[in-house]
Amino acid sequence: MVVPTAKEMADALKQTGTSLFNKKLIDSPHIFHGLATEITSHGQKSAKWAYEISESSPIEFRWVFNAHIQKNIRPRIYASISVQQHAAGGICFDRLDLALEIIDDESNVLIKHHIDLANSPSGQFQAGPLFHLQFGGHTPKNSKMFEVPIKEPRWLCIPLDVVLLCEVVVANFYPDEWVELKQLPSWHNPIVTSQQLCIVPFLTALQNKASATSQTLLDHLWAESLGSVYMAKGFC
Amino acid sequence: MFKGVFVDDKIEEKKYAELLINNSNGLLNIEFRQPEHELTELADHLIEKKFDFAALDFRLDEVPFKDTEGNQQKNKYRASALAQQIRDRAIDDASCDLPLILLSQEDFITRIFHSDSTAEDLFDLVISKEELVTEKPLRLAANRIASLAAAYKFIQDNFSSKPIELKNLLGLNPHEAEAILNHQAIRAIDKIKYPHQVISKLMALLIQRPGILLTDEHLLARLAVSPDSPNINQLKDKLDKLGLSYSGVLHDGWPRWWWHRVEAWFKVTVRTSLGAIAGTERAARLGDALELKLMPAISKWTNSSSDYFWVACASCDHPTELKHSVLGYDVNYQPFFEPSRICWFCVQTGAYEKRGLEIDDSDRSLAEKIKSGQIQH
Repeated sequence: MVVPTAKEMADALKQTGTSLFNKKLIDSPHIFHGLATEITSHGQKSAKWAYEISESSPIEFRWVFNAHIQKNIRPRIYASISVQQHAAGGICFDRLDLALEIIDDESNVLIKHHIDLANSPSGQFQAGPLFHLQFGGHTPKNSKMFEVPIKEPRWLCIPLDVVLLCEVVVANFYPDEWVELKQLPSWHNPIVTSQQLCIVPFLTALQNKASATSQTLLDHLWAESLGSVYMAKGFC
Repeated sequence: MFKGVFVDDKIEEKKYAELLINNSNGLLNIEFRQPEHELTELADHLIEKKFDFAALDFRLDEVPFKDTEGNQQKNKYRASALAQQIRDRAIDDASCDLPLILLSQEDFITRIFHSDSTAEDLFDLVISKEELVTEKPLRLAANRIASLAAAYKFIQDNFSSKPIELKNLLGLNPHEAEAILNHQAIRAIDKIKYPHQVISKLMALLIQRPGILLTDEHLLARLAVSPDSPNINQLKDKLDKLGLSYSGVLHDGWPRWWWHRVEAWFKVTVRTSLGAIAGTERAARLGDALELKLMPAISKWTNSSSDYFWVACASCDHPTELKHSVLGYDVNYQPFFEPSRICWFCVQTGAYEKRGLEIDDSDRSLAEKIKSGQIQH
């Protein structure tokens, strides 16, 4: 298994940003190009790289009318991702924190979903699947949103990165553009790069454990049992 | 010291050459010349004298003069024709290339010059005579002229017989240069031969638009520091000593900051990314790291410092948050440019229109809600 190099990931992000911009789904691809600079400024061939899309400067998609609530809504993406390849060949997310937020045109946050790697603030992993989907989560100050009172459940989920989450957003909120984008190699290729990074190692690990009878899959992928092994070796 | 010439047909305008010399801290020496020659003859003369820069008044065709035979003559050319002649010569011989500055009446600049984009492209810098009345704009203008002259000389001295190396031109280490050169438009500068074209590209891609480099105003927005904060100069000094400022060509006239360096330094020093923390905490942690008392930026819309400041408003230059700003319409586009934003306060007051700014169509309905009071503080 080979982690995309900093340069390959930078190119994938730039291509995704350009495709979204060309379809007028975002106002500018500058965040994607900024991430590319951030990733490659420590060397293009490095298999250890990180990037962040913060609360101050999220990826904002175009306003789109939602017939159900009769309002314009806009998806926003935040991310904090750090990746490395261990000596044994395993790929490991040191950090994976993706958030998808939907706001209306009065700045109300309607929905916030997180796809995360379980936290281990003091070396002890939080209860839940190592990679999970969670509703609600951290809300920035001054954000007008409904508060989700509890954080559970954390759903077992495949890890995604920004490129893959963009595909989820486009497929769900901009179906017409998705039909057109799917025809283009410049849209397809970076998604395949990200699938190699995020999904293929996860599925291999899943397959290896799916037929085991001694331990359920959820139990195996629970952060408290798998977390420390994953952080030391990644998915080999 | 850089030796230049100021060409104007009105003798009384010689005072601008003197004003610039007197405010240049010894950097500039400027000859005054009236355009009492045919166009090509004057261009030849300016090139032969090997000036480091030439400043031209826009109207060179107003004042009659006597030719060598004593006949009354009036020029039929303006600054743009003279500039074109000089640029044509530079294409034949890059060592002739020199910075061209339009130094003219505001009225001509806005009414005639800016409506001719071909003429605009010929000049490196445009200065309005009306601005040159107090020390600050005079020093700024003199500094920028000297900075342009130094940049041309650097390019001519270092790259006359080999291709441009952006790493040296911009003062970057090899890893940084690779990352910056990943941007296709910037990579294209390596293929340019003539100094005026290199300078024009650097201006358009890096200096005049925030993105890879930031102005002071955008830096303060990223740091969530109020422009009225105490210790702004000390803050800039400390960040400069940390190596975060741009030190490549043109930096003397156009001070800028490398965004990737600022971002990386903050992350290592404060152990979080700038954009991940709200204004109050961001400014406080920056102040702690640099041992400076700093005042956090205050949102003009929420009147609070706990917002997520990110850009300087294109209308008021004040730090603003993306959440409370709309997209400004922009005809120029590069994927690494930070899009222009107009804060909701300026949208509400209409101040942005006085700055000649327009709201992008994508945010027009949102702007209407702000103007009509449907969205309020």
